[in-house]
Amino acid sequence: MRRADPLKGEKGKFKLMAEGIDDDKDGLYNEDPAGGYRPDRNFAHAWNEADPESGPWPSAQPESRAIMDFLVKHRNVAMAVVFGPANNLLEMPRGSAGRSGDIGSMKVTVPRNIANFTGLEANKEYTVDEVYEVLKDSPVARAQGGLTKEAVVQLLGGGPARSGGQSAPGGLQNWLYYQYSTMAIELDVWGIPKKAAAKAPAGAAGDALTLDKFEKMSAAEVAALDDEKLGAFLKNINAPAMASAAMIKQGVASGRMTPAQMAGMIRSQGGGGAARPAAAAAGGGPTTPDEDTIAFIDASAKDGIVAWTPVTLPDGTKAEVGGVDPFLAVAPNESELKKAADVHADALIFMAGKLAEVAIADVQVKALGSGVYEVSATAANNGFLPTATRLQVRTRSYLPARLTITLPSGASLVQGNNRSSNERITGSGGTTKATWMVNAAPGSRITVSILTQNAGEDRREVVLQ
Amino acid sequence: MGQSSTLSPKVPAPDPQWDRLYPNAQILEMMRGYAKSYPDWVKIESLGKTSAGGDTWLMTITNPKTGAPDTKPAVYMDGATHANEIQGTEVTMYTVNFVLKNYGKLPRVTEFLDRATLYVVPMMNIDSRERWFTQPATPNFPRTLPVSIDDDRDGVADEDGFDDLDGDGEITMMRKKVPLGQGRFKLDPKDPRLMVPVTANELGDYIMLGTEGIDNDGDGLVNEDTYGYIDPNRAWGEGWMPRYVQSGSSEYPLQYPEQRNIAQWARNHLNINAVLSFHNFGRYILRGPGAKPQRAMNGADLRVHDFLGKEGEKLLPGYKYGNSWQLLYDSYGDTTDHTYGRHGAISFVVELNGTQQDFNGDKNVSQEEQMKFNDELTQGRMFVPWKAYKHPQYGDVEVGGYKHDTNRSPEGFLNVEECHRNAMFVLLNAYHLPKLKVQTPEVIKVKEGLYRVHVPVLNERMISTTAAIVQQHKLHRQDIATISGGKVIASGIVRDPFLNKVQMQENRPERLVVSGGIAGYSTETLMFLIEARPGTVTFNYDSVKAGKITSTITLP
Repeated sequence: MRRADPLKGEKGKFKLMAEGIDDDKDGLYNEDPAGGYRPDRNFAHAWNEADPESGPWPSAQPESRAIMDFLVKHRNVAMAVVFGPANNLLEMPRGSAGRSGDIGSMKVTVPRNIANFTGLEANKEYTVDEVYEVLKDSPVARAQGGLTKEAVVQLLGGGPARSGGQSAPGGLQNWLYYQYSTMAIELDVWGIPKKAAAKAPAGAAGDALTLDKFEKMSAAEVAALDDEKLGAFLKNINAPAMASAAMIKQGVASGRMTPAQMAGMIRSQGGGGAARPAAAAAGGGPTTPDEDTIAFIDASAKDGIVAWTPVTLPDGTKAEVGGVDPFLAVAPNESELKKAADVHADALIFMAGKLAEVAIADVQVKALGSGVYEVSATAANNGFLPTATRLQVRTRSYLPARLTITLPSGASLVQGNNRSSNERITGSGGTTKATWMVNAAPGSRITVSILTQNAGEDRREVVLQ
Repeated sequence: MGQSSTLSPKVPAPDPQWDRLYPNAQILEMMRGYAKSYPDWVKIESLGKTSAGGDTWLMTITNPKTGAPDTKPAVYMDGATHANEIQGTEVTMYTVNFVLKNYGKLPRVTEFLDRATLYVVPMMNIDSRERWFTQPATPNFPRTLPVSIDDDRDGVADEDGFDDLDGDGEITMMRKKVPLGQGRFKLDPKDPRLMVPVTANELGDYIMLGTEGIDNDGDGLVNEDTYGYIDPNRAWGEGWMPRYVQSGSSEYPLQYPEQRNIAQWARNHLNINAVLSFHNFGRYILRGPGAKPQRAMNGADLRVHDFLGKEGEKLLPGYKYGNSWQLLYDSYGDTTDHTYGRHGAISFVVELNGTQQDFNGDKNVSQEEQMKFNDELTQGRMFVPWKAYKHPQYGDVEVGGYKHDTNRSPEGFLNVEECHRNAMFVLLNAYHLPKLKVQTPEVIKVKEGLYRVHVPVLNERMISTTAAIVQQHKLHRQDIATISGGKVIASGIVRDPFLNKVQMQENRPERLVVSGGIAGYSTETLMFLIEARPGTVTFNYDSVKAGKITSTITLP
């Protein structure tokens, strides 16, 4: 089923709803099914009061409370992975306010055809930010009134292999990150893959302009092209929306780009009717999730799609029943599941190996005379990840990393506190340091400790002399 | 039905004095006493255990002969959400005593218990309230739930609280005399009990050291990690925010049983139309929203709150009505937001008591006025004189100040009036519970066996039969009107009886949904097209919040 498009003069001819009858004859179908609330809509962050499945109030359901009660008693949790409906790796979590995450630090490589006109090196690894810096003032970006980092990723042929979705409002991943404030990621384990691109149809017929012809044109020939013809050509080759006839002409006339470079750029963005079929051709253009689902189930599951069958409802309404087996769209078959489980198990082990891990790195004792010693202690985080997320520093949901000194009886501090706190020790060797002045008998043993809730502990005993 | 006779107790009923504050055991004894004296009228039950092993005690009061408690419109009230805001409990118990003793004597009280139900949780934060009476306390402490929070984030919870250094059972203040030039205070030359800050060009010889206590854990800080701090009035489910947005919040909404017991019970008691939660201090009648960023209250419900709140200002001289964040401060996840937003009840927090000592009427209480009140109106009951103490960190200090049962809680002679006026505000809310009346129906015989009936249903009081928030948040079903004894072919709500405009219901005409209910002091006329023989049919109106009413209609 496809939505009717009023702009194409279409009118809707069908109503689409889940299979069922209006049992209570109130004009609504399936509006009060068995069951109540979804645990993954009932957590307290961004809880959606308008969602009938979100529960009577956030955290009302025993299922959500049981998980939270356990977690708040176990602050040694340093990272959480939720196997749920969203995939935070395929789609950056936008947060409850719907802001997009920054993908600037994502690593990308630049294909040769784009390297040609940007001055970047082909197949070398760059960050999205670096490519963005180069492209943001290009004619392409100016014509568009600005370029986004997401557009850069698409230009480079990146973007998710399939859609990832967002963690649910009131979902567990949201609560884990924003309120419990651990590092939290939601993974959907498996999803319907994108439909494989159909073979390109033959280029537009007749004397219409094609990308192959355009590529071989001189700058003067391009300048002489009729705007309407050029516009039709751009549309036909499924060029990016930012590429207007005027922009192409200006770009070529200014000498910033040759027609050949431009053709390369258009091809790299999936235009040109070569890599992907032109939008005008039947069945062309990017596929919708529905098309992906049908293509996948058609290919992988026999009887996975039930043919539309006419039925007459008890009230006399004529309807057709059919469609995709809903379970097949969300659950992989056994061999796919095995592959997915292996990948995820490996990923979990990899991520666990990146956790923060603190240790006493150094303790220096300096005798100042008359039984007074200056003790300087340094603790380091030898793991890859920091001891706390930035958000955790703000929420203060965990205790800080605490560097403490324990004195034997009879010893005392000349001033201050036996504890030095640091909200966050960065990863890969970040440190925290404390200095104490101790009044003690020579030969006294003191202990310096680094204490954290979720990055371990370490102690070192030192003799004052 | 016994509606006009007075209610005679089976055994002599409790007869408390209202010029004092009652510890938990005495309040419980009182509650049980009423239940014993008026066995079918007063029920006591525990809604569940609390954080430190107490119970959420609920009293349910109604005339049992006029219907079960849960089938009638109801007022819910509670006290001592904040344990130190002690006298909320006395206000609720005064109300209980008043309605039981005056049933059958005063027509409005009689009407209340006949047609409605009173639910009371006198001591919500029961464990900490007990501690306020039995352990050294201040007017502000203990306040929160009996749950340990590591306030100073050192890995140990509640290890450095206040200490009753001089062992007098009170936690007061500490001051220290220092050489001239080392302090910012001096003694008031007219009254050395009072401390005066020195002016910019004056030398001081006293420092104030805060609340009575020592550095128990040797971390160089005094009283930095006390008993508590989960604020029970920041813990509800509507509009809740985590602790980094507001201190005192929990890990998740309704995490602790003090509130959760009540919220879960209230889900099955949607007949509650009005909620009053008694706090102190400052003389306010507060409604939601609790915080500025929250959505403003819809107009229909605001009008009801405004009416009751402004009438309340007249019954409670000096009290000010308004929303919490404008009159006080932002509070997320507070009582009124939850009981209004999640249960659909008109809700007020009443901040009891205000300055008692403003002798010159300048709306400000100077420390001299406060001391004059102590000396002359309580003969010195309130203030503990300064007394020398050897402090482990501060050396020679003096300990003294106001006792825990002063200032925030009124002196006994003032509490009597405070209790009475607030009980009358509860009864004002009770009076305005929705009250349905079926007026004379208009019956038109369309043809043989077919009748068109217009039934005007009146709500005689201010609170709507379904608050607008119920529809807005889809909290529970709408009011439903049915006809028994005939077949309903079509039905609808009459929007203009003179021009014959009826908003017809498309499906299931036999079950007319009165969306939005019947607003206060107004009538909805309901139209039914009925297939029936001459005789009678019965009209039924069924409202979750306003109860059920039936009426016989004669078909000619």
